[in-house]
Amino acid sequence: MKTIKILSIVLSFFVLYGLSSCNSSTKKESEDQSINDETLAEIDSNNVTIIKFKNTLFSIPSPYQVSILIKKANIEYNPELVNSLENIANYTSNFKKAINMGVYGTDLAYLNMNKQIPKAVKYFANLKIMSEELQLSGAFNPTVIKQIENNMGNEDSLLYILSKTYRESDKYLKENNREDLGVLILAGGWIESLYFLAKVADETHNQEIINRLGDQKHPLDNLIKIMSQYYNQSPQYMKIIEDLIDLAYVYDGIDVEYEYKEPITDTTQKITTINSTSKLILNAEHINLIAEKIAKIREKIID
Amino acid sequence: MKNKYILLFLFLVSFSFANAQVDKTIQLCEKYLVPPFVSDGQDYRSLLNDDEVAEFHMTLYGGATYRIIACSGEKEGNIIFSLYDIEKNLLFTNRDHQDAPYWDFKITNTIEVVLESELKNQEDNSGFVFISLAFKQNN
Repeated sequence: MKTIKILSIVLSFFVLYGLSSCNSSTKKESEDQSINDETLAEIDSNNVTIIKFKNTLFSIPSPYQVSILIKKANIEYNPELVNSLENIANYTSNFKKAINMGVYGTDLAYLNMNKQIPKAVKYFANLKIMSEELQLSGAFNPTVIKQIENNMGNEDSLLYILSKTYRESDKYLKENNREDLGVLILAGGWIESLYFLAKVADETHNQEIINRLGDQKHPLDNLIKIMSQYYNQSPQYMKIIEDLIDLAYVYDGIDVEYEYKEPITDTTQKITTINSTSKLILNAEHINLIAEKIAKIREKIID
Repeated sequence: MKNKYILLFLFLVSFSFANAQVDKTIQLCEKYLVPPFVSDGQDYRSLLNDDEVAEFHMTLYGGATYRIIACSGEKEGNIIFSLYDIEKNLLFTNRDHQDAPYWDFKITNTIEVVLESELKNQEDNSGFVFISLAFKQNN
């Protein structure tokens, strides 16, 4: 049911994208318009105009939070988890460069968290090359590069600078109408972090890691929504979106039981504690299937 | 021919003016994006007119503390933002807190939320809304 919803979202994005970019026959226009009206009518529930698609933003949690969780759970460093440095030679298209820039960024955070400094330096060198090739030197400028190099091994500072740099890249790409590459960096980072989670969950059966693996259900839906507008851009986009939708089928089987609880706000500290509870029903079969599917998706993007 | 150049000049001036304004708004937001808060690495922006509301869907992990920052225009307090859960229960609104430009959220269990943001002065306003989401390090 959920997947049908995802597919309809993909379709809606596709139709709306088509609407904004072409003006073909009157018949097609009216068909598309009726779908468009239907989509908006379904959403507009009161007097306030809630604009969908254009003004709906979807967030993907930072992949660095996964590395932090793995470290916090005292899971031993696994050098096999990260993408090989040598694979950079295979990344000749902008598609591959962008998606693997996300992958290497997540790897760098994982290496840094585990104090693998000499290796982290090499991964950063790869990131520098890829950012130049993608013309992202506005974000990865000499000052930022110096800051990152000086903070290798200082996990807190590096994470802060790296996150800020990826945000600058995202901003730069959006301002220059290259969002199609921005979403790939985002997707690569998320896919790598899900691969880490699935691998570690499979090997250690750590409950916190398993829960976090289940928590990716909605971020995956959001990622599909973000990427769907580029479905028609190239067969590569099409393939990755279809693979992610296939993964969403597995997540459909995971139930979430949610219960609202009153939040508590501390006005002086400007903080609200959200106490609502959510329970994930995730079994061993789900974990194996997610691990299997994400490993295949990752293999396709890093090869 | 001369008119063409004048138009081009006006376009470039207005473009750089708009860019400068956007940069100023981003600076407003970034003031609160400081350690121990780490950006999630994404830039969220939305162009709103009059009474439009931007929706922002996100997952907040259990055990983490987040900071949400919302800015528009050249001064603070231009944005009303409200956080809802998936059942549309209101979890927070800055309307109750002097339109605060940022707020922190301590999350007990992973939760799906929707942040709705709108311009405070809807009648005479339109512009970009910038949202920043950051998580607290060493929570």
